[in-house]
Amino acid sequence: MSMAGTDPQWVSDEEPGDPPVPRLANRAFEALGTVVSISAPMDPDELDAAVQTVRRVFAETEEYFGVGGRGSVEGLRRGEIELRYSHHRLRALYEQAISWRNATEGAFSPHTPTGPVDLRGLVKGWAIAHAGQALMDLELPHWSVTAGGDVLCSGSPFPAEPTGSDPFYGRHWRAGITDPFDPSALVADVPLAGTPGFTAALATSSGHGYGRSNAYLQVSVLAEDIVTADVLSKAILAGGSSTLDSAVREFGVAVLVSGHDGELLASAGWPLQLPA
Amino acid sequence: MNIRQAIFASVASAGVLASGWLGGTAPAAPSASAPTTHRLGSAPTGTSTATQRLAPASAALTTVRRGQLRGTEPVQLLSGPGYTAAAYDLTQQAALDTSLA
Repeated sequence: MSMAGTDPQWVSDEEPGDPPVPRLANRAFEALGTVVSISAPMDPDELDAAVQTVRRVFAETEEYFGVGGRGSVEGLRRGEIELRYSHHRLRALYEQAISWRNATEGAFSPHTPTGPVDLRGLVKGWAIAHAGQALMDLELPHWSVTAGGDVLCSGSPFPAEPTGSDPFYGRHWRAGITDPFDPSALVADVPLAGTPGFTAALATSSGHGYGRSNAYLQVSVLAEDIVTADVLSKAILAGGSSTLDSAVREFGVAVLVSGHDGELLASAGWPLQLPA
Repeated sequence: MNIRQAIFASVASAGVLASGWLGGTAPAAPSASAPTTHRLGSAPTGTSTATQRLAPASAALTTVRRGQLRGTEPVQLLSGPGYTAAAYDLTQQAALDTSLA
């Protein structure tokens, strides 16, 4: 699996005598039915150790909630298990989902269009958030976790020692967003994080394959945490402009939407490129 | 003022802006030496040139051109639906192709 990563400009910026800055390294594995990738500017051996922790978080998430195959999450989604007879952990997660449904005035729903409970999205966000917390508990300031197209990151891919002119420890992460009309291309890219200990999250939801009409073709949301970004991207996709307005106003998120006609619309907080 | 707002305030007062999106409260407007990325709530110069062929249905939205959304720096991360291993590899290669910018 390939990965963009090194930036020669930063290597050349090093002062003589500075300790070498580890190159950006990455690892990927499969969990929760999708691809999880971890990137960090670390020695490969150190990254392997950190990835073991993240793998354990995802494995425990699968076990904790009963994900995949004949697990409870899939059973609920297929309507084979009733929520009232499911594990209390799933019922607690469902209560969180209902809180989000209320906060978005029904635009976000933990139910499939045909009725059964679908908690897969929240489980993924739960896992990504806990993976990020685990990396912070390891006192790692610079990292990114991507799972199923949802991004959570902290610090910088090319960190530097803080200076008076750069208190943010180096250059930001840069995340691309796939083009809804051409998945092999990018429609946008955004700078994320830049300060160790402060996470930035990006989630993208698409109307493709839902079998129902959505207000927009694709919605991307920037937020401080991945669950907020993921839930609001789904809510705005379903709820349209009124949900988007309240999400921007009440949650402080930034939003980019692709219309069905190809029109691109951004909220005031979305990072735009200035003209050259 | 929370810690995030405090950081924004201290950095803005020093004439320096953080290099990535952090969320939270908007800092002061970028100075002339600010990086090309702008911060939450601070409209970039050049927004007025955005195409306005359709009035946005949402009061919070502005129509933007693709050129305003793509930078020239390489990406390290990807966000999108249908995120499979194959899509990951394919898009990473595409991301490296500057012709997409």
